[in-house]
Amino acid sequence: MSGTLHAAGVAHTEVLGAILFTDLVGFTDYTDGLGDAAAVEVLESQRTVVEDVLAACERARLVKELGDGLMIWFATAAEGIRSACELMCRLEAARRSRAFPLAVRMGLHHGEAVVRGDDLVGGTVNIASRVCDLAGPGELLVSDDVLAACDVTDRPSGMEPLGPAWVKGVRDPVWLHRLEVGHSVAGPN
Amino acid sequence: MTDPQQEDAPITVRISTTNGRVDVRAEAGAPVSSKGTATVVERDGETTIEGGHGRLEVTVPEGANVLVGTRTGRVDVKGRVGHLAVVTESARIAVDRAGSADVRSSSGSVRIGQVAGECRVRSSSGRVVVGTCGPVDVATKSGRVTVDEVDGPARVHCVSGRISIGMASANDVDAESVSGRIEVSVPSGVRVHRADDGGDGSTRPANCDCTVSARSVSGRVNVTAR
Repeated sequence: MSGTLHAAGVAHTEVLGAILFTDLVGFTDYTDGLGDAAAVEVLESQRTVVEDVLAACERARLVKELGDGLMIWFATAAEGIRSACELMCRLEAARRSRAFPLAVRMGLHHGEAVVRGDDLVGGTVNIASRVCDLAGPGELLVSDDVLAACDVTDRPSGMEPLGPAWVKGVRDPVWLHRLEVGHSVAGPN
Repeated sequence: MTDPQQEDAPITVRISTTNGRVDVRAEAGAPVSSKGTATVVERDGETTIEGGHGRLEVTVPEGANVLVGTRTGRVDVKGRVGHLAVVTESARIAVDRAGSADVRSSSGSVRIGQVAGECRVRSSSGRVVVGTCGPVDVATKSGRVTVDEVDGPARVHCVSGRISIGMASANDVDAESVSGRIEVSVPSGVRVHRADDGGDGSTRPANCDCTVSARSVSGRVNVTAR
């Protein structure tokens, strides 16, 4: 779903969906300790897993890479949750088997974002980024807006409410939930 | 007729306030009440208290689940609550007793007395001190982490800052600090398998009771019996 936003006489397209931010915990220290080549190898491994997960989605795309972090858009909240869980499970499994050295943290928010070339910008994007900042290693945090945009049957089990979070630069609190990795995620399949 | 199961189920109180101190007091049999400028909404068995600026005092029945969100100030929880979740940008957090806890603060110290179940703390900076708890999961960027007595698996991740973990029983420990010292103490008699290269216990020899994986790039690592 998309709409048009007029600001200062310029028309912008808005797109509805779920925005996922990911971040590799300790990437800077890892790079400092093991060097750039090792760091690039980590990013390549992550990208391979991400591309594999996104290939199974109906409508999703990797918007951009932000150093060791990623910004991914999903057309629906349900697909966002399912894919984020899949991504987390695969990276955590790789970490446990020592095939991947770092823990990942993730934040997912849902709403409209402004399309700017290949990029997406706006409040939804900012909040998704802040939600990711609140996550710890191996955690996926999702906002109330994500759950509200899901059918009840698409909501994952094992959600733990974290309550209201006042995130930097945002006027109203964002109500958050924590999803334990490995919990089953209901879905149409 | 009152459904006894419903009567026994803990209530949930959600507290949201921007700035100012939040005092939560859990008292046996007390109804939910608040002092300070606040809007109280009750819906579907949950009470939401929205404060603004200034001090907010909330009384909840003992064992109630409490979720607190605040931008800045101080959060004090006295008495015994059920599940406790606190998310704050910067605030000092002090908790007496909880059934389980999830505390997140960008800055400000976190001090938790006793958690019967899982204790989870996320902090960017500020000291983290936990007294006794079940499984513990702490992740900080900087700031010293001290967990006195853990009865369950322990996972502590710190970028810079000293980590001190006291194990009450034979459970796995995964501690990692980039530049801080790590100290793990286990009860005497517990046979420890050291797997400091990041092992998860799957390769533990049969004659060991638990796996301790403690890694620090530039700090000393000590595993001792007590």
